[in-house]
Amino acid sequence: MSIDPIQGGALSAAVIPATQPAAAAPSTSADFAALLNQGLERVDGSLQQADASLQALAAGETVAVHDVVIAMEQARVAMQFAVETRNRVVEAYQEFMRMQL
Amino acid sequence: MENDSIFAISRFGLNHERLRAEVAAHNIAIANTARTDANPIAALRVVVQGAAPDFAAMVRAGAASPALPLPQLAVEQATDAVRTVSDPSHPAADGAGRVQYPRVEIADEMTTLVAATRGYEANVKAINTLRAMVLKALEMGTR
Repeated sequence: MSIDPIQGGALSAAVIPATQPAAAAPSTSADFAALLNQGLERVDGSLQQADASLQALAAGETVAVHDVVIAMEQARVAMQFAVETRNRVVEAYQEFMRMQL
Repeated sequence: MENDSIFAISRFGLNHERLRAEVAAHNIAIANTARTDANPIAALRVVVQGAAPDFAAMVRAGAASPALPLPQLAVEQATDAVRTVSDPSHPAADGAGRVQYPRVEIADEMTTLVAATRGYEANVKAINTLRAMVLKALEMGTR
């Protein structure tokens, strides 16, 4: 039919801006999940590093005391940051669920 | 600046102050030890090598500044600082009866010890302050 190309054109024009945010939304949510995973891996890495340096100090190896304490403080700061992120995300989710539909 | 570079700056300061205190303790220990040919004891000095960090460029770059390259610490022997004492009965005396000792000023080394201790405490205070700032930033939006 002669209307088809116009419909196709209108549909395609309507679909393109719709798919772009739809394509953008899953990519940003996947990026956020990847961001969360990266953050958790960094916290885990810093905790393991602090544990390893503490073990080295306890075993008597030549590790400067301030290096061990700095590693522990970095792990604590990273852990606090992860806890705060979790608090914010949970709070936002609860606010969202409280909406009356 | 990222959080890691905060600790890196003060960690360099702590290492430097501790090295200065250890070098001062070493110099005090060898102050009255005679130098022999087999064992040429010398006083030590802490030397900072490498380029100084370009703080102005860092400030201009702002939040996008890369981690600054910290200079390297090295300990070198001061082989030219020698004092000679005339003591022919000493087993390490040379042909003219003179014994060599490393030239160590005990007063200078004690002052270095005190200054290094205060510098160490100042660096610890800097770390505590910066860490408190980071933790305060996490409290935004709670109360």
